[in-house]
Amino acid sequence: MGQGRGRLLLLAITPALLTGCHSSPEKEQEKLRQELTSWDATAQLTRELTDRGALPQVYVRQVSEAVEQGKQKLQERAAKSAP
Amino acid sequence: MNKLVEIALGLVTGIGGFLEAGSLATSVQAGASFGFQLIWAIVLGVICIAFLVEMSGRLAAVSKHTLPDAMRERFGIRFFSVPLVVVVLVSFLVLASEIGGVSLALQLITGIRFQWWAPVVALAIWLLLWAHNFSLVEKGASLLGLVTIVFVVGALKLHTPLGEVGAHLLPSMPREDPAKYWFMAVSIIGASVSPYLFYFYSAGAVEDHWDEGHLGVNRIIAGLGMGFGGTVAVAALAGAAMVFHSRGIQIDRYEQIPLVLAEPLGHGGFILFVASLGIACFGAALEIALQIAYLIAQGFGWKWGENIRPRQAARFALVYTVAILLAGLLILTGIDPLRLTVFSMALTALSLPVTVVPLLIVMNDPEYLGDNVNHWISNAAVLFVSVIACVVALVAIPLQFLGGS
Repeated sequence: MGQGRGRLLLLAITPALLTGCHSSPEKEQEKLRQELTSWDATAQLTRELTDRGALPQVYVRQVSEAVEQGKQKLQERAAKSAP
Repeated sequence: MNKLVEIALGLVTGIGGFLEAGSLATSVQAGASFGFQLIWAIVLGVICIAFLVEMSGRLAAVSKHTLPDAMRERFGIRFFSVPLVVVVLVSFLVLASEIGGVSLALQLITGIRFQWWAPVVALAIWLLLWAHNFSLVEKGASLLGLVTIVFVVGALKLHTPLGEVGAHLLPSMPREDPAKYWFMAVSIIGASVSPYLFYFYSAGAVEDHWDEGHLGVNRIIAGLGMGFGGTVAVAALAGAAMVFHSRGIQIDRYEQIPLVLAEPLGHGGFILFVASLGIACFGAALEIALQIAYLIAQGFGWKWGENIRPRQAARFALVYTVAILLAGLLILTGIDPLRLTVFSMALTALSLPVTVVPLLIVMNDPEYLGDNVNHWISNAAVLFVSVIACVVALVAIPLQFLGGS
């Protein structure tokens, strides 16, 4: 590919990426909501699978810790992004 | 008969060796975040790596040169030092990711934090290489690596809609979060087209004394081996789409990933996931540590070889010793293995032109290949994927860090 075509591709991609990356407070809130849903759903799925006897306790503890830490970080981010 | 055994071994290595920390983490993360949408990135990466593996095997069979050897001879040490530094740097990060993957597998079953396992894992890798049992271990790891086929079983058990999979074999624009989408796409391509795969392959072909009679075997191993390996990666992505994406789960921690097999296959699925992660990453770590040593030793013309005792190839042994030690130390610091893995894969994509273009020049030189120089299709396919991956990585990596969570 020639240099000119490479530059053209770069020019075509950059605005699309920049648009997607622009982080307004609403978008940040939405992102935080999605991540909270993700951690809640992880905890829920882990509970279901534990009830089915699919997961050992030593692993369940690790997921619970990961969920807790993930939510903690979300809280910190939410506090920072609050007006 | 010998050729059939070689093909079978090559296919086992292709399937068992394809999935490792990078391809597993990127496939599962992509499936969780974007459903089936990024399957095309795996396909593109597999096509590219199949061509590259075939080329490096052909170079070894026809010219009896390994890749670094041919590149140093063709371009001189000053030019060769650029791809040398880039590949060593990227391979070092990937080695650390693999050590992190094995350590994580041990954490999942013991509850002891992964960083404490890193020295143990690093020592085990070093001991196996030092005791020059590598051939046995490599074939053993590849054979055991067949356990990764469990991802295909899991995807089938989840009733993955094959029509949906087929519909995403071609690229599509992201429906949301384009920065993350393109970052994941280049990470997947980087995971599939890891330079260690084709550098290592050429060294293996030279050590096995391949000649022009092996060109057919080489083509079959490269095409089918990488194709089957890619199928396992697609299955991991599809499984993640079915289990995680449908529930709105994003993958932020390694600890979430075993659920992808525990959901369809129960307790056995969890155990097989841990085994897959541990074995696949351990096998890859062995190969990468050795490949870093191959690369430097071949590049500088030192004595090298997996079957030579360390005292007979002291500098070669010193290189893999230092690489394993530093990679183990990096994981010991507690760096997040998932982020390290995905970042390393994106960097690999970024560096592709540096590693691939010199190879293409050698592959088109009749001095080395005679009548077996590259066809224009393989030149075009590899160049296209490498340049596109690099350009997208150039934009997506900084944006992911500026705008991503």
